[in-house]
Amino acid sequence: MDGVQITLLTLLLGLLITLGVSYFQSTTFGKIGVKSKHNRPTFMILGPNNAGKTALYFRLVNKLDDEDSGSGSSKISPTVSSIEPNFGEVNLPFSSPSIGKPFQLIDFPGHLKYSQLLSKLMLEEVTLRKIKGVVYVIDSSSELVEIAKNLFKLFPLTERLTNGIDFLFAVNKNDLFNSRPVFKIQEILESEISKLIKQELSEKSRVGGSGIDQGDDDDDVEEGVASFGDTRDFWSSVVSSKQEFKFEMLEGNMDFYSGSVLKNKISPWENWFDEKVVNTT
Amino acid sequence: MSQSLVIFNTSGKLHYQYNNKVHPFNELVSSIVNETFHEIEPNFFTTTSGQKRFYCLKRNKFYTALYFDVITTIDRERIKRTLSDIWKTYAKIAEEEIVSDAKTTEKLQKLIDYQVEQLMKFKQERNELSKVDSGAVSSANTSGTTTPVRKTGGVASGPGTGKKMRKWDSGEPVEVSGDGTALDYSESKGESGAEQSNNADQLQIDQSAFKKENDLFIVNELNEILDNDDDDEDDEAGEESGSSGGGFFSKVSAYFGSTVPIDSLNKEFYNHLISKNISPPTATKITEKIKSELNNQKQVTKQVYKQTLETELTKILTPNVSTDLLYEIKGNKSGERPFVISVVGVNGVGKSTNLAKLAYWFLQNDLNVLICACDTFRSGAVEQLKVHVNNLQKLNSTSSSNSKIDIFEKGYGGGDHVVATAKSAIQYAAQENFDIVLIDTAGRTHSNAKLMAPLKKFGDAANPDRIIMVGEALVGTDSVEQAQNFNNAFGNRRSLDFFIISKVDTVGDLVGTMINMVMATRVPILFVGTGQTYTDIKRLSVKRVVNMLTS
Ligand SMILES: Nc1nc2c(ncn2[C@@H]2O[C@H](COP(=O)(O)OP(=O)(O)O)[C@@H](O)[C@H]2O)c(=O)[nH]1
Ligand SMILES: Nc1nc2c(ncn2[C@@H]2O[C@H](COP(=O)(O)OP(=O)(O)O)[C@@H](O)[C@H]2O)c(=O)[nH]1
Ligand SMILES: [Mg+2]
Ligand SMILES: [Mg+2]
Repeated sequence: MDGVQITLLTLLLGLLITLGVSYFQSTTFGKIGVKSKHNRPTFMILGPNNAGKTALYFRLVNKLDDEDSGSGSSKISPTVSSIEPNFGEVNLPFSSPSIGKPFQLIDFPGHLKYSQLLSKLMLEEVTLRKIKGVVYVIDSSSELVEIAKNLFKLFPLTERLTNGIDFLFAVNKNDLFNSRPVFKIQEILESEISKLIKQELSEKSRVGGSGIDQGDDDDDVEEGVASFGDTRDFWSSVVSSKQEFKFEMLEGNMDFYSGSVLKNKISPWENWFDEKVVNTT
Repeated sequence: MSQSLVIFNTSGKLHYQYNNKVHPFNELVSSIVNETFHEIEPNFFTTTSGQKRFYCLKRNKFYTALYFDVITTIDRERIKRTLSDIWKTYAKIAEEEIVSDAKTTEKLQKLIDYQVEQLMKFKQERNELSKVDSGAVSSANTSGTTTPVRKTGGVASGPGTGKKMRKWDSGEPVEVSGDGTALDYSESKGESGAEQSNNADQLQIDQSAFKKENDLFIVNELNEILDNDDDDEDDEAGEESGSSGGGFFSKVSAYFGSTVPIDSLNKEFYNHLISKNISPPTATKITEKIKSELNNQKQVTKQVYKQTLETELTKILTPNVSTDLLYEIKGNKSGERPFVISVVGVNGVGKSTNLAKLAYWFLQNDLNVLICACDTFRSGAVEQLKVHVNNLQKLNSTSSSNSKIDIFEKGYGGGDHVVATAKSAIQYAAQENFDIVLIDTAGRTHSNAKLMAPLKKFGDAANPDRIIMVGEALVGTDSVEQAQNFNNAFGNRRSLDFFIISKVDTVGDLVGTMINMVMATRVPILFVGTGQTYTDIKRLSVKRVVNMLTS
């Protein structure tokens, strides 16, 4: 066996070992080695059932088709509540899609049953850093108490990042006669969330207290992402006692714009998207 | 009389609607998401909500569903067949043409509406028949699958009556047995494109023609679509599995992605689940579900399988209702009646202990708690509770809270004694300004009907705001039946609200009991008990339990 052969063999062996090791890592240590296919720049559409998330999703994803056919105010696709999330793509900014970059758009159903799957998707699959914004869709004619509860649980996740994650509150269905104005919605939400915070903070501490705690420590948080022990710690860091909650207390920017997917009045929302991608690049 | 039919897919998008009433189908979706529907056979299920009864057929990611008034009775076989035919009609046309095209939409509408109308007509005729012959109705009503005898020929065909061909004939599908040589479909092959445009022309002519002829056209069209039709439930299966075919690419991907035959993965994970204390029938259900989630692909990677399993287990364990008890109790504070919670379960699972833990938690949150001793059966049970209440009173006096706790008991006794005790406890609590009444009940063997029967009476009389069953993590396969029997013990209109799973500290990661009980009843887990002190009660960490079950 001459030198050349030995060198070749060594190289080959090295290559095999490298392949083997990386294969080993990717299978045995599953989560660490393999990135989720959803791990890319993303906008999430969240909110309760029947708010208009899926209608908005299809409107944004099919935007190009609509313009081609020249029917800018085309009808919305009729829907029932979604059973699975929708994953799609949009080219942003909307104002000049030809030079735009692709972003993942996720329409996640509002069922309570999926709340754990949503946290999993946001924390472990897409990961917080890749979430460029949350579009939180609200039916402007609907009850807001459940929405407040939902936000109360959602902000402790999105605010783990130093600067938080930006929210667009897409106050939808302003075509309806019983639609409420944006400022009113914001006001009610703030007061409902304040109530929840007060209750949470008045609950006796877990240590030496009742012992009923979440027990949900996330072992695999992203680097540089703070991990609040639980909802309680988070809210006590945002709101000092006796203080009323205001959206501006959060790190992420919270924008409220009214609109209607049905009437295709969504340009303030599109502008919000554009602003986000211009700002981050 | 209201009825409606839709075809939608998992994204929520409607692909077809028979009339404008779409909103009620959200009830159906919610029963799909929470899996509270009744499965008649795989991928065909029903649910009732308000005054509506839904029937739904699932094919791949598509759902074909209809509802009508609860009082309507049509046998399920018939409904299933119609739904299946409608789905085939849709799938066939959608496959060949772009459905947004106006002409196609119209054609589709004609074909589907016709089938729905026939189904409804069938129902109406039957109702008329039933008026005449009430004897026949009662027998048809008691067994949902009885096919009434019809004048226009036999539609009676159970599953397994061999391959039959169905032909639409003057408004009534007629089964034609045999090889179907009588039917001439020979031209329908190969030149479908030309033929379609032909059909479209025909359609326009038909519109101006007589209604009868129009029907005839529809009938012909339907026969064509539904011809070589043995129920092809699994026909579409596996079409999305890129790697099931032969060829170079599949081999490469099999090497790198290491796909494994799904059946061997099913077996492997089945055994794994069983080793975690999940009961065999429950494990079978889960692995079957995974298989259908994966579109019946023949080959998948282990990683994909595991992820799907994790998602499924997470869904199972996540509650579909609010578990924020404190919030609700505080909301009830202004009401006249205290918030009543009662715990039930078999002997020795930890009912009294976990009741005391709950009491401590409420006390700490400034709520006044009255414990009601309704285990008036086992000697020593009342004294045991007294010890707990004494302890809690001491603990409470040293803490900063200004809440109170007391016990309400009327000694021992059987029969109506329990109901009387519970009622007077609630009354007493309302007078004495208690916010919560916690009712302890006697442990009972779930398989003993004599012991279970009083629960219904108790539930009706005390009418608790929440009924919580305590089940221990230690119990194995029996947990399924325990949960089911207790869940059914309160009659048709009442069921369990929550589980507390006790003694989780004693089973390590063999936490399968949780899955058994939740899958058997769809009742969510409120807390888990993790030891013998008052603070050993925790919220369920779904994530951690799923990790324990899959690693
Ligand atoms: N009036 C009105 N209805 C809307 C509007 N946007 C959506 N909808 C309707 O609201 C319902 C729920 O929409 P969907 O997108 O499925 O809600 P999701 O559950 O949030 O995904 C559908 O019937 C839509 O047609 C709107 O701007 N105005
Ligand atoms: N390790 C452990 N023991 C428990 C737990 N819950 C209850 N126990 C014990 O189980 C036994 C029976 O409890 P008990 O409350 O009397 O059961 P009951 O008959 O259902 O009322 C007692 O010895 C308790 O201390 C738990 O979460 N962990
Ligand atoms: Mg939706
Ligand atoms: Mg007891």
